[in-house]
Amino acid sequence: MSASSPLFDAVRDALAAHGRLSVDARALSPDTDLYESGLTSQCSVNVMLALEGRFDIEFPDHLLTRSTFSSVARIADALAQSGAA
Amino acid sequence: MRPNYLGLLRRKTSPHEWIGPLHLRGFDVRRVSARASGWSGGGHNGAMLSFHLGSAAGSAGVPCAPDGQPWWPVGLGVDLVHLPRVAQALDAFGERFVQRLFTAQEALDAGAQPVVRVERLAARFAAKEAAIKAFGLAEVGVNWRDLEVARLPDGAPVLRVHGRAAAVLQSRGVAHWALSLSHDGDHAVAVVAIVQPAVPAQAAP
Repeated sequence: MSASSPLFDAVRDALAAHGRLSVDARALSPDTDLYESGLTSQCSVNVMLALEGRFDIEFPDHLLTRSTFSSVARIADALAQSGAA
Repeated sequence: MRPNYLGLLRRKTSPHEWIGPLHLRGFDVRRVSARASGWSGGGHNGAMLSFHLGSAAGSAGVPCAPDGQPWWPVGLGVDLVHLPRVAQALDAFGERFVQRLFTAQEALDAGAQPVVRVERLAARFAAKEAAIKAFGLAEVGVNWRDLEVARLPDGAPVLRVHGRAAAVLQSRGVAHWALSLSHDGDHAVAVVAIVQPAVPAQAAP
């Protein structure tokens, strides 16, 4: 998956809107640690809800881990596994 | 160190259980309160004890089992939630926020009055996050609805565990835990501790 794929961009959008990061979400590289960038568990839930709403999917329980939300790439991968197109 | 006898904790109503006499060496008992909770999934009923211990004067306060072996809470989790964030999430996602994270009963318990609803949902969310930390479930991946806050008739909060989370706890031999909630101003907080009794529960005479 390229760094500018639609899923990556959607993740960055959700992080910009709901992540409350200490860095510019839209400039995030795919593997930057989001928790080191200020993501809290409460905000990761909001990011999750935003993405689930945008793609009309639900992340399966086994993907609701802390590490899933640790980077743009990991979230995008989880979206792909959850059926987001 | 002299033994201290905490006394019998009596059965009240189901799902409380008989707990036999507890002996904890080296402590002056300051305050004892008993709560009981059950957890579903696998047909097990767990008894949860909540007790407050003062340490013997001058001691380091390390809890000791009767055989002198130290024991500790084997899991502890805390979470602090900022109420305006919860209010914003409700504004942004509406009922989807509630249905995704909370059981029907939790949503009911939160009530309809907006300010109180935010407080109660925030405390319950904090409880779920505290439980995930205490139980070490962060990398297991569990549904927040599998960790449910309920209220006993006396108002004490208890954590009921369902589904896959319950199966994981059962496989790890985790059977007893305690929950406490609080909120003040713009924040709600929850603490969950896995506890182990110093002696096994004894059958009622």
